[in-house]
Order: sequence, then structure tokens, then C-alpha cells
Amino acid sequence: MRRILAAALLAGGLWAAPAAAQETPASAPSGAVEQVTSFAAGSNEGMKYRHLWLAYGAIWLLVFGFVWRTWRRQRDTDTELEDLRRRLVALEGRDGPGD
Amino acid sequence: MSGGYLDIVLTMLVKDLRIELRSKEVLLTLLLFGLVMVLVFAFGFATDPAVSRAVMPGILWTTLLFSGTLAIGRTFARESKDGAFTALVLSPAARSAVLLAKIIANIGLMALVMVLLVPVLAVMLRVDLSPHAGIIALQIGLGAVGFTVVGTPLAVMAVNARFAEVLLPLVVFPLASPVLIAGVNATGAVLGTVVDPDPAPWMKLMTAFDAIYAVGGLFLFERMVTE
Amino acid sequence: MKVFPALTAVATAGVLAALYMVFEYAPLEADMGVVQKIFYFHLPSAWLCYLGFLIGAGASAGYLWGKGPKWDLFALSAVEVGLLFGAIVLVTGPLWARPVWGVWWKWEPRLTTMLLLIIFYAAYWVLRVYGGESEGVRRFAAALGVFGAPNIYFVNQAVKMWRGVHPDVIRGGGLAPSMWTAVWVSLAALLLVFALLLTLRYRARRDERAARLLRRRLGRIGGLS
Repeated sequence: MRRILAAALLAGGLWAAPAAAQETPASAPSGAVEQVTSFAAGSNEGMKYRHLWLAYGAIWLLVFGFVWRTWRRQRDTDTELEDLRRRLVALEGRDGPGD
Repeated sequence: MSGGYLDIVLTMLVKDLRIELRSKEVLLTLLLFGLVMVLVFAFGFATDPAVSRAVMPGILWTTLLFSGTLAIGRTFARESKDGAFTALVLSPAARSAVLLAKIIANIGLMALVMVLLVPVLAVMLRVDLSPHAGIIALQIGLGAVGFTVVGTPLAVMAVNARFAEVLLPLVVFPLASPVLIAGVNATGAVLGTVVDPDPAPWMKLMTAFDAIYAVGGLFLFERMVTE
Repeated sequence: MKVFPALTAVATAGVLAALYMVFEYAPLEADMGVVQKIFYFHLPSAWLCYLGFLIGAGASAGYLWGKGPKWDLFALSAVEVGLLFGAIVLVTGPLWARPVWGVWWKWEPRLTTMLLLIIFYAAYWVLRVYGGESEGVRRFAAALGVFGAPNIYFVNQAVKMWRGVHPDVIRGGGLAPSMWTAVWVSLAALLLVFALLLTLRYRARRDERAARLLRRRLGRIGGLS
């Protein structure tokens, strides 16, 4: 379940970052003008958008990768701790309190 | 500190020097390694004198860094072999006194190696260093101190770690990189291969580095080693 | 445990606010254009990377001064989060540099300092995680953590002198006030993310240690058969 949730969050993040990036020209139309006037400037503008997209995508990926790995470790550890505690209780029930 | 502290330093130092002078194993290994480095650099860079002069500072300091790494790696090799290291840190002798002795020994060793290697380097790469011998020697001395005060305490602790021989250079090189940058530029300033001809700021930086890490290392070392 | 949902919610809201500030509120930079918007997450990430390393150094010192194993785990977690933000800096930096400077990498003082320190603390991390589980290794790592802090100053100084002739590009002196507002908002948001990640990581490390100790104890009294 958590796996699906995290994947959904990740997808959402990846979708949100470019979407946010694409909204920018609306508030600043100067970029569009440049694209028409000069091909060189236009291709550079294209690279700027692509790199902005990539940068925010990478930030999302890195942060969610980190959270995801931490989360998985925590889950594995929780499972193991539970198992160990159960064994300990079983053992102490047989022999009396351990400490 | 008290006379007792200095006594320990002196005793340790004399002990190490005596063993080393008898066997000469570390010194000879380092010298051979240094010669190999000289060859590698001669093959790697052109032997054209102009190029040699430009790359000389880099070669000199890289040699110092690499042979220094070998040297500090050997610092406690003798002790760790037969459990003498444990005995050493368990002894009532102040641990920082032991460290200080090792640092001095390493500085001496590196200085000796460089004194023998640098002339060979200069001859083989055909760069005349003799007009600047004094100041270059001073720079190398500052660099050797900086490298050793950072590297030696870490080398001691690395004895406990797995794949220590890989980890040690991995952590010592970034730590010592200010020394490398300062050294290359200071020597470059003397040889006229960098824009700014004044080596003084670089040597000041090295001195500050040496002082901070020497004091910090000795101070921290009491806490670093476990019983 | 109720603190995590709350912190997560606040951090998420903060990041959304920061994104709004960056893409709607802050004006478009005249020369660099839209790619300059990387800056608003790039610069705070660099600060947080250093914050992580400094917390790591402080906690390492605490561990060396006998404050107990929790400080060692906290130092490790802080360095890990610092490395995450360092990775963000190293990825976004070149992506920004390429369209603006025409190159992916420059030996610019701040970039170089950052790279060296990230390598150093990555080495700390490798040592601490793969070096083995002995007290000696933990102390070695802690000593490294402490040694790294003065190195921030020395590396920066050396690299600045080395590249001294180059103009100060990154800070870009003439940042409009509204741009600074966006920087502060995204710094605040990322600070929340930092706190969240650090708590999560620390809790995971702490529980792992508890599990390890429990397993050892069970092994001793024969409960693992």
C-alpha cells in the first residue's frame, strides 16, 4: 500500500514540477517574443525550460528517493523488532523474566 | 605541559627512530615509491622544459601527498601487528604524547624523503630549483606538517576499520586539499608559473592550517581512541 | 508518533508556498530568464547541506565527549540529510550553469568548496556505514566529523584565493527584493523538509540499533533458534 502511495506521490511530483514550470510564460511573455525574433535565442530558451524542468524533477526524485528508502528501512526494522519482541516475550514466559 | 609529558614524547620518538634506522624499511620503500612517481610523471607529461616547469609544482606536491599517505599508513603498522597498539593506548602515558611523537617522526620521515627526492625530480625534469631552494624547502616543510597533523591521528584510528587502506586516502586527501592548493600555488609563485608572484599569503594559509589541526588533533586525540 | 503527520503537512504546505513564490511571485530574471528559478531551491539547498554537516560535526563532538550512542546516530543522520541536499546542489548547479555560462562546470570557489566537502562527508558516510560496527569505527567517524568543520573554512579560503581573479557570479549582487523574499520562503520550506527528513532518518537509525541490540541479546539467551 505504501509502495503504491509513494509511487503516486512521486508521479504527482514529477507531474507538478513541469506543470508549474510551464505556467511561468503566462506571467512573463518576454520569453515568447524572443523565441520568435531569434532562432538562436529560441533554442537557448528551449534549453532553459528543459533544464528548469530537469532540475525540479531531480529535486523531487532525490527527496522522494530518500524518503522512500528511509521509509522502507523503518518498515523492515519495525517488522523485525516486533518479531524479536515476540520471541523475547515467549522466552521470558517460559523461563521467567530475562533481566 | 610537565616534564613527564615531554619525556614520553622523547622516549617514543627515540624508540621509533632507532627501529627505523636499524631496518630502514619504511624509508627505503618511500624512496622507491617516490622514484616510481617521478617516472610516472615524466611519462605522463611531456619532457619539454617549458612544460616541465609549468607542471613542476603539481608534481612536487602530488609526490608529497602520495608518499605522505604511504608514510602515515605505516605509522602504526608495527604497533598493530602484535597488539602493541592496545598496550600503548592503555598505558598511563598521555595518548596525545604518543601521537605527538608519531607526528614528529612522520614529519622527519617525509622531510627526509622529500630532501632526497626533490633534487632527483629537478634533475630529471630539467627544472632548476637551486635559486629558490630555501623557500621551497620551507614550503614543503609547512606542507609536510599540515599533512601529517591531519593524517596521523586518522591513521591511528583507521587501524580499527575495515578496508582502512582505501578509506585513509579517501578522507585524508579532501582534508589536506587546502594544503595541496596552497602548496602548488606557493611553489608556482616562486617558479613564476602562476599569475600572482607572491607566495606569502599561501604560506600563511598553510601555517594557520598547521596550527589549527595540530592543536585540534592533539586535543581531540585523548577522546578519539577507545580503551 | 503524531508529530510526523503534522510535520509532513506543514512541510508540504511550505513547499507549495515556496513553489508559488518562485514561479508566480518572483519576477523573471532579465538576463538568465526562466532558468534562474532553479536558484531559489539551489541556494537554500547549499545552506542546508552545510547545516547538515555542521550538525553532524557538533553531534560527533558530543559523541566523542561521552554523550552516548544516540549522538553518533544523530550525527550520521544529519550528515545523510546534508548529503541529500548536497546532491541537490550538485545536480541543479550544472543544469543552471549550462544555459547561463555555456559550461556544465566551473571551478568557481563556492562550487569547488561544496564538492570537496561533499566528497569528504561521503567518505565519512562510507566509513560509518560500511566500516564495521565497532566502537573504534564509530569514534573514527566521529573524529572525522569534527575534523570536517574547520575544513569548511580552510577549503573555502584556499579555493577563493586560487580562483580569486574570477568575478562573483553566483550571488549576482543585484537580486531584486522580491526575489530575496522568494529565497527566504523557500529556505523556510526546505528547513521544514530538512527537519522532517532528519527526524525520519534518525528514528530509522535508532530503531535499527534497538533491533540489533535485541537480536544480540536474544542470540545470547538462545531465543533465535
